[in-house]
Amino acid sequence: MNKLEIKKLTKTFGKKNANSNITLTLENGVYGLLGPNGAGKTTLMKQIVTLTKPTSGEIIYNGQSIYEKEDEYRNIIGYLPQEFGAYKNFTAKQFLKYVAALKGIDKNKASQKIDELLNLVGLYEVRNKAVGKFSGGMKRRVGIAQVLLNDPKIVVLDEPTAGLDPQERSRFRNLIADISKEKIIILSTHIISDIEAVARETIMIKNGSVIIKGNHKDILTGMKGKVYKITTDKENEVIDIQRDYKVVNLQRGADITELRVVSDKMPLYASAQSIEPRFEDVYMFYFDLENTKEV
Amino acid sequence: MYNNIIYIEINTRRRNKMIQWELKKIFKAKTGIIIIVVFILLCGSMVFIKPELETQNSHRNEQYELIKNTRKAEVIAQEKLDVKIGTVKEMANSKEKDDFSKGIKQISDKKLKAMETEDTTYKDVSFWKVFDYRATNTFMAFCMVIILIIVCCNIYTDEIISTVENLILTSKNKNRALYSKLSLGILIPTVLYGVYLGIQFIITALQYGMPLNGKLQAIRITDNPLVRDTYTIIQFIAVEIGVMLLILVTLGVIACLCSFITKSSLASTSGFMIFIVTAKMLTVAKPFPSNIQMVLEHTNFIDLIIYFRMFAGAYYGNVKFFGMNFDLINLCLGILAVTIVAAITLSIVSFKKILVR
Amino acid sequence: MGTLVKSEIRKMLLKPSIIITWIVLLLFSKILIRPDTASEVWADVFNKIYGIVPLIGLITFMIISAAYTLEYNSNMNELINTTQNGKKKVVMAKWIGAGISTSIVNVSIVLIIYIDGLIKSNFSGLDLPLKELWYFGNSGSNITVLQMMIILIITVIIGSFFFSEFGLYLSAISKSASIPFIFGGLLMGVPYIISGILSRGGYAKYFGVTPLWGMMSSELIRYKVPMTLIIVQIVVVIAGFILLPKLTYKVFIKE
Repeated sequence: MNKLEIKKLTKTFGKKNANSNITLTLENGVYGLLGPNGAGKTTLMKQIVTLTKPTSGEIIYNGQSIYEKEDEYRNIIGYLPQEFGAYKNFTAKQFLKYVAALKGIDKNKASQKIDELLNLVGLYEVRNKAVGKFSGGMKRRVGIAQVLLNDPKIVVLDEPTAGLDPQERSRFRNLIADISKEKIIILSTHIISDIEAVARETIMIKNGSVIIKGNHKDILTGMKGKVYKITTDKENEVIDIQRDYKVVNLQRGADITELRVVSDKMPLYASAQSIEPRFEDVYMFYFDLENTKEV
Repeated sequence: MYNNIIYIEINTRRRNKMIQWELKKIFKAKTGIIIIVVFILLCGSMVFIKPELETQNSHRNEQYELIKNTRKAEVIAQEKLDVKIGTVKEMANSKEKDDFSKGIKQISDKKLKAMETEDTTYKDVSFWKVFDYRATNTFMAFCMVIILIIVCCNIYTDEIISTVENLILTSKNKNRALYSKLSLGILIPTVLYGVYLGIQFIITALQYGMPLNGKLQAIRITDNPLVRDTYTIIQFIAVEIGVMLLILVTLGVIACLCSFITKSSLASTSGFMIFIVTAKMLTVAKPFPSNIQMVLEHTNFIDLIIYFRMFAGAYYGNVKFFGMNFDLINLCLGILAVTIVAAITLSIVSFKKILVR
Repeated sequence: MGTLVKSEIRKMLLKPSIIITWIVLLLFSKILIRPDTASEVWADVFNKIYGIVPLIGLITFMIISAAYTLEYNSNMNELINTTQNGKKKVVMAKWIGAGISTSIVNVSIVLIIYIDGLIKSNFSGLDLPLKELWYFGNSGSNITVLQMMIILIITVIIGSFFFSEFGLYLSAISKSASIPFIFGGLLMGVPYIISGILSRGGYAKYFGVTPLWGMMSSELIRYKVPMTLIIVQIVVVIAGFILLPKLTYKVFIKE
């Protein structure tokens, strides 16, 4: 069994509720954690990996509170923080050996596992190179390798693809897909296409609370009738539409401008027509324009 | 029981492994090189540093020129010893009635009795004189403090800076990693000081011959004849080494604590320096009653390091607290021991309360 | 440039830890002088100002030790080096900002002791020649107390700028703030400790070449440091002012 239950989890910093009454049940598969900056994603993740203790509520793994036997629980988690760094003077192999020691992995087993993982993340050839000389993407791959060292049952990845090029992101998605069997993987990101590609379910957090949890099909079904395309050749109409509606995309042609908007009701423009929703429309519908990132 | 033994053995090996990793991190970074350089300079410079031997006598005249006594070495040494024994006899015959003088009289009586069992002619104690000086040297203590600042003040803040902190705190061996850092606060000063003593023992033996006459009374090597007990030379040096180790370990553990409770190298180092300096500042400002002032004057680390030879093994009488008399030096040593325990306890509390907020 | 300097002063000085330490040191400085006759009070003033050099050193290096390590740790150094004002101007702004910050702090500590001296001496004795104070007993100097006070303020400011630049250089070459603290502290502390040990003899005057005695110019008068040594010291300080910023700049912009 591999089941993580989060029950009425609240975390307060001073007067601010970073997480408010979150209740979730997670089983094997990839969960995308989506939300704008400051929504409470990292705080939730930090509580799951015991970096910080909740103000109230519980986190239960396989029927037992994670604080009852913390060392044992930490033995089955793998965590990649948002700002991941390694000791610059260590080679990739040395750094992974150190993390293996932290994770209590036997020296001989660790050696074998490290070689496997370095192969998996494509760093075997540079295993004896100092991490300080790696590119950002390579460092992130070291980060993913250390996550998997102890074959964790729960994998928590905080913005793992931030700053990676499209090739690296594609490699990463494939990696997640490979490892996701029999693991709970919680992946927080702003990059909607990452979630669309790999996540079985999406959890959207806003102002510390969960506003949606479900698979993409259901979420997109819920968005039917809320996404519209409006075409216009008048500049002042473009300005009015941007002012009155949430515009997901604006495409200027030679004469005509096409706007993709999300709205509860049909926009009052003759050219407005309902179209098939995409996942970024979901994000825009629930969050503000300034929090939209590249697709 | 057999299973318990295996469990303890495995745990010890795992803890040792984490300590090995901590040492590896230190020596892979530039700081490791700086520590080695400081340590080599320290050990090397001691070749040239020595006290005035018992067989030598010199003074400076008004023009500050060095005037050396050119008589035979044995004659000078015997004269010096006779003066020290004379001082002890005077103290033993003292008619003063205050507590401090009575204490000195008692100690002096004991010393005279102890000296009756040995011949009061001068015996070669050059090795011990020099070794004692090098073992408790202010310059040595100063270098050790520098090493402690470089290593222990950054023992945890380095993890924050390299962003590996979160990996440690979310790992199975989190507590082992943290305790191994804390134990370095004790191990580093102990091992470094031990190695330093070993090196100085060898260097001094090469320069001044093998250690002889260590079982004779300690006043033969001290400049201050008022050593607090009838220690032999070896016992006295052992006491001094013990006290120096206590001071260094206290500083090591405090430096580690500063690292655990702060978020940057600067905050940790500043915090440590402020802790060191505050007690000394209080002795200058004198805001406390005289009994507390006396204790502060003998427990602030600046005076302990600079005036170490006036502290270890010395007698300063008693100090009164809550109507009871306490031997001042023993009380100060107790305070140092309590400080170590407090710093270790606070570090452990910080693991649970501060690192995981 | 003014904006850059102001930003640097804000970064260095307006930190809670610095402000609190500064206030504590000011309060401590206030209680150092005991009421007595004018000559005793003024002798004590100069004695105590030199006596608190370790504390001046502590706060000086607290202010400047993280000046460059802060930029490295937040990866701002790369950003700075790509900006128009970056590189040279930032290095200069840091020096000026550090010098101003440490001067403000150090001069304020000295001024508090001066003011306390004025109060405890009932505002008298400013025209006493230094040779009548026990602290300057052997100097034979006819410089008055007031003149020495002014000279000391000026040299404390120059010394603050010098030690700031030295500390900034150490901060630029190391990734840890401990290194500037330790080695900057040694530059200040070693002459302080050794001169204390050697003060009884004629050797103390040779410390006149050290930047510490340049900053605490009362010691130059006290030990009748010959002009040749003072000139050597001036050369050392000027060389420091010229070389250290160049070296710091080279390190900061290194790829």
